[in-house]
Order: sequence, then structure tokens, then C-alpha cells
Amino acid sequence: MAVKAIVITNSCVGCAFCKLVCPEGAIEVIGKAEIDMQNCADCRKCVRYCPVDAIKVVEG
Amino acid sequence: MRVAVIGSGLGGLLSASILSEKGFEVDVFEKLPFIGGRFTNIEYKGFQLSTGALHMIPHGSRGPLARLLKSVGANVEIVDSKPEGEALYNGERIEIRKKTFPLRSRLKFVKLCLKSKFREVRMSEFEKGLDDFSKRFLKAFLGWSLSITTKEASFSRILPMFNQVVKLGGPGIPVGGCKSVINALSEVLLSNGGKIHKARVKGIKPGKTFSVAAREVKKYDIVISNVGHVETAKLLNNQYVQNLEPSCGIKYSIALKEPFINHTGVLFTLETRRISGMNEVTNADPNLGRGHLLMAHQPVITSNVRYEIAQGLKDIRDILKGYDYEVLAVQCYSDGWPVNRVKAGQDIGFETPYRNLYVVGDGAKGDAIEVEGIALGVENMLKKLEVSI
Repeated sequence: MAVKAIVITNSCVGCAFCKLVCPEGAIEVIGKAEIDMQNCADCRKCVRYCPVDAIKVVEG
Repeated sequence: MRVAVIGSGLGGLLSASILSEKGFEVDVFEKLPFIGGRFTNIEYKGFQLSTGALHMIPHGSRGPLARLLKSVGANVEIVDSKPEGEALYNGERIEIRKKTFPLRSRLKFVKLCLKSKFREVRMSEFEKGLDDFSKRFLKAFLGWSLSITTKEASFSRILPMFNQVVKLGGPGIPVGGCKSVINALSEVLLSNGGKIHKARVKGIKPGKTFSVAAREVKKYDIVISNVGHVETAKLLNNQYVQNLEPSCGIKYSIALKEPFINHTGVLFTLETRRISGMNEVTNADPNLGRGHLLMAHQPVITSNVRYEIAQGLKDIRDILKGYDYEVLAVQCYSDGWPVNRVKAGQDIGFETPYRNLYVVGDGAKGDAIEVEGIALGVENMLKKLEVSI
């Protein structure tokens, strides 16, 4: 199964942990996080570090 | 006696290390890949940013947190601020001392202190007769230390915190940042045989002893929750608490080539849209960044976080005019995590409907600012457990 997308859900609180741990610099946080999937390397560090489990992997 | 501590934030690790020192068998549970919660460092572009709190201890080496760290044998070096505080007003920097404030405003403070012995005094009543400088300083101070506005604050509820500031003085910066405090506490815990499990707690079942379900189900005599009342109630499947209003602040971490503040104290910004103050932590510990690390803070006034951040960034642009800087991160905690954060003055304390189940951390603070309040909350809980420190 290939990864379709990594999505930020509404529970994002804007703490920016994901931006800080992202090795690709693919995340921006202005109030809430946004992932630039073009630059995402699918390491899923953001998923592990999110304190509110707001980042979900959608498999396709 | 077996103790389970849910969450390895400052409140959790402070309780865990002290109890392990007193001979309790302590298991700490942490769901994230690192310990420390909102009180640790996260490295970014060569800077030690913080996960939540600023790299700052509100009353430095003289406060309640420093006292507890010392008593448990946690080795942390705290650099006390010098000067304690400055205000940026009319484009000038003014050192904050008692005499900085006009006599009339100081008298008003004393008068309201007396009044609040008899009835609740709103902050707006205090604000009314103040001169412009004192009024703006009050606003910046509340925004910086408590992330609240003058309008929503109660003078009476915040008076004990003012008194602590007057008695204990200004802040200090831990060498190594927040993480050095967390590391020192976990060292104490581990050296006493305590354990830290990287596992999520799924539920707590009360009874004669508490059953705590993580990877497996284990029984404990005492449970200390560092995840706040709301999440604790969820773990218990008992809605003993509802609708605690979370407080909301925004923190900016800024990299600078040349230092801006140039000392270890707080610079309160009095003529801004949002930013209430800033400190330059690399003046206390140069290892916190390659270059200078400035941390600025603002309360959130409207419900539109994007707009609030835009206002804050405009302030930073104005204040740092002519300086070569880069905003490394904007952290805001709009709602949800940290689940335990409760607006100053709305705290419901450390007790729950269950004996031997307590809440520590941001949602169960004593009457003091930020992490000093967390230390007082832990102290109150230990008193209840009849553990002498």
C-alpha cells in the first residue's frame, strides 16, 4: 500500500513540534500546521512527535 | 508504596523524583518519543528552542522551583537576571524598580490591596487611576507572565502572585535551558530505581488500588497525573470536571546575528500591538544557540490566531528595525494541547474526587507564575501525601 497523504486534522494546536522535527523543512505553521507534500519524504517523524495526535497517515 | 505518574512534564518528573528519593516505587509513563513535555528543548537550525515554556524560571534561584530542585539534589545552574526587568517605553529603555512607578500609582496599589481583603477587586478598577507608564507596564506584565489581558484579570486573584514577585524578585535562566532541569530530575529518579516507560496510558480504574492500563495493566497505590484535569477525567471515564477555559499565548523564537537586549533580564515592550515582552537567553547561556536567541511572547486577544500572529510579527518588525534577524518558529497552542493548561485564576487545584489520585502541572498550580506555580502545586500535593521535603 502506498502512502496517499499525511494530513493535519482539526485537533492541531499549532505548537510547531512537527515543523521543528521535520528534516525536509516541508511544514509551515501559521496558527495551524500545513505540510507541503511535494517535499515530504514520508519519514513520519511529525506523526510520532505530535502531542495531540493531529497528524494522520491516509493510506491508499 | 507504588506510584504511577502519567506524563513526564515538569510537574510529573518533579513529583516522581521527590517520591523516588523518599523510597516510593515510581513508574513514569510518557507517550511522546521524548521526556519533558512543554518544558524541554528541541533543536532547530543550531538553536535550542523550547517545546513550550520559555527558558526561564520566574523567580530564579530564590523561587519555589529552585528550592525543590535543590532539596531533591537535582543539579541545575540558574543564572539570575540582571537587571531584573526593563521596559521599552517612548523608544527608551527604563529599568524596572519600585521607584520607576509614580508615587500616586504605588499608593493606589496599596489602597486596593487593603480593599481586596474585604471584596473581590477587578484589575480594571486598579487600571483606572494609573498613569500611562504603569498602565502599560501592568498590561505587558500580565501578558508576559500569565498570557492574560487586564480586562479578564482579577486583582484579588493575582495579588498573591504580585506579592511573590515583590518578595522573590525577577527571573533566572537555567543553563542548558529547560532540558537541563528535566535531565537533572530524571537522573535523580533513575538513580533511585524509578522507571520511565515510553507508553501511552489508556485508562485508570479506581478501587482499593488503582489499575493503570498502559502496555499492560498494573496496580498502584497512588496515581499522579501530569496531563491535566480534563484528560485525567477522560482516563477515569468520569466527567468530574468540564469546560476549563484554556489560556492562550504565542511564543516567537528569533535568531539574531547581533544581540538586541544585551543582558539577561526581561524587556517588557510597552508600546506594541501584542508582544508583551522578550528575553535573550543566549546572554545567560551562549550554548543555547549559534548566534543570539531572542524569545518573545504575547497573549491572544481575538479568536483569530492567524491575525494574532500577524500582529505579533508586525511588532517584532518594528522593535527589531535595523537588526538582522530570522523568526525561527512561532508556537501558539491554540486549543487542546497542552490539555492541562488553565487560565490563571481558574485553577481548580491538585485534588480529584479520588483519594490518592492527584493532578500536578499546569492545570493544578499554586499561587505563583508559570513553573513556580507548578512547583507550589507539587509541594501542596506532597503535603497532602504527608511527605516532608
